Amino acid sequence: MAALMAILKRDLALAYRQRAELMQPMLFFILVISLFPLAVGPEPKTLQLIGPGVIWVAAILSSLLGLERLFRDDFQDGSLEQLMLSSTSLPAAALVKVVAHWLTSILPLIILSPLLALFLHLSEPMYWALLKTLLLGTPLLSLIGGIAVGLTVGLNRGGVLLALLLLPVFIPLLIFATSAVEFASMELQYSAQLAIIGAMFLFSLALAPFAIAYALRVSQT
Amino acid sequence: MWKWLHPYAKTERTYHLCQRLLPWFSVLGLAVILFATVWGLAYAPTDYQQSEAYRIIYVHVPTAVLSKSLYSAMAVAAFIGLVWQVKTSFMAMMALAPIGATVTFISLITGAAWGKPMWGTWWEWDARLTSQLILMFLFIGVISLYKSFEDKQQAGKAAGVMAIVGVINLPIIHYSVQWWNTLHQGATILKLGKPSMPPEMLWPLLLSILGWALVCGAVFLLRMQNEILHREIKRPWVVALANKTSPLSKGK
Amino acid sequence: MYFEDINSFLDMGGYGLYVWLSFGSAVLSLLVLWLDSFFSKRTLLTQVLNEQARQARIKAAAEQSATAEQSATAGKSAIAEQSATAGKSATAGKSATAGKSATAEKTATAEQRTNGETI
Repeated sequence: MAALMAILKRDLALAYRQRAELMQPMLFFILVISLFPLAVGPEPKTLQLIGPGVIWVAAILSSLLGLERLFRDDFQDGSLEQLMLSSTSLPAAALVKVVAHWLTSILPLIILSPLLALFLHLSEPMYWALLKTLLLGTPLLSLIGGIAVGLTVGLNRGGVLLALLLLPVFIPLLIFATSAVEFASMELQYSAQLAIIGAMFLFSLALAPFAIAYALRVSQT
Repeated sequence: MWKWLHPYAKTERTYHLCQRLLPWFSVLGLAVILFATVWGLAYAPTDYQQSEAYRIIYVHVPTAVLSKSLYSAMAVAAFIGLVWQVKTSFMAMMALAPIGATVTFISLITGAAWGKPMWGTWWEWDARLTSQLILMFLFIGVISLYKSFEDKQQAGKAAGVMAIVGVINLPIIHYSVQWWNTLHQGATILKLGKPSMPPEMLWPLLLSILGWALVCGAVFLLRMQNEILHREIKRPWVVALANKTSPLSKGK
Repeated sequence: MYFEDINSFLDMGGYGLYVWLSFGSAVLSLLVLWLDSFFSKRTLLTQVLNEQARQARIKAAAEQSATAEQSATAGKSAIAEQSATAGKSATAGKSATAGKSATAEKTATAEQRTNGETI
């Protein structure tokens, strides 16, 4: 337990020291979302229509950018190997790293979300729905993303391959999250969508750490 | 109970099994496909709603059905390879992948060609076509991941993990896309009416599915042999085989 | 036969373009896949034979230089041995490349085809 807390503190401290790098996905998030009013026109009705989808797609793409950080630095300086050889349970360590990653790479996006909801003229009920879907759904991005990152740690052309592997898998999440916000805009109940996202989250929370550990063992033979 | 399968973990045994099965699958497959396709194209009655355009069903449905079956087969091979550490299982998985990608591609093209006269556009984001598109990405993802690794042992395991992640997601993707489609109901839903198909239309369809399955099986046997040859290229049994099968005028 | 004549068969009730486009692309894709698989197999088997021949050549060259060394006497033998093996390996190399160029050509085009056809 102490070891896991140490890993968490270490990852958080390292991330804090690389604040500049952490800013990149955030800036990408804001930039991409800002492109849409420029592309489709500033008409509030249009923006409200595409808003939830745009924010979620931008969140997914931004998280892909930040995902590489999960194991890259540890791989390069050898501490990943040390982690794998140590007596700490690898799935637990992987889960802790994923938590640290979510806190440092994705939580900032969620904190920015009110601003971006403003940019896209989302109504208040829509925003609350969006926030709930982000809180419940973005951990999925880190968990499942972690599996793919674990597999591709040593490879050179990581980036686009990661997107190719992960985007199809994120599509159901995208569908249900945007649908929840849409239902909110029509003042309908969206607890069903949240329930499905929650189920997917719990499912991956239970299994992903083991898959990530396995993926690391495969790629770090 | 599965003891009889154990010898096939060895590449040499599997290679020769593929060689023995190949003529059966290819000849039978080709014959059944030709028979069923001619039956469906020329002899089956017309559809009162879609006129002759419905005949695309005889190539669209088999390839769509096969695309999902081949992905599942690939995932089963991945599972066996990962759990029991069988090298030949990973080779089977990678032999299946390009075949699956090809039939998915065919199902997309035939789906679009069917859609144009029926919906008026070449592409429509209906549940079936969208699912097939995502399946295409899943296949390409597994193939790309396998190709990125130098060490083919690692490559097999990594691609295997992705194949399994994909197969778990396949039903989720399928139902979420279907549900998404009912929300955003734009064009008419393409009803195949399979259960209400008269037997004169249904039989050529079933035979087409069988024929396509056999032909895909034949190509799989061929590609499995290629995977084996590629991995075992320095082994003496491969050298002996090459000398036996190729004309001996080459080499000194 | 559902159709009265060949023209109405090709026309497919006005939908001829779509029906034949579908079946045509299906046949074409299947053909490409099968050709890729078939020629890959040929290429692989040829590769095995080429490698085997190469190993045989290396072995022969090594043996020849060894025997030439043994039969030679001191002094002149050094120069004689060098020119003997150089001559032998040159002719061996030339006849080998002559024989191999035909198969190498086939392998190269087959490889090109497979490279062009893989995703």
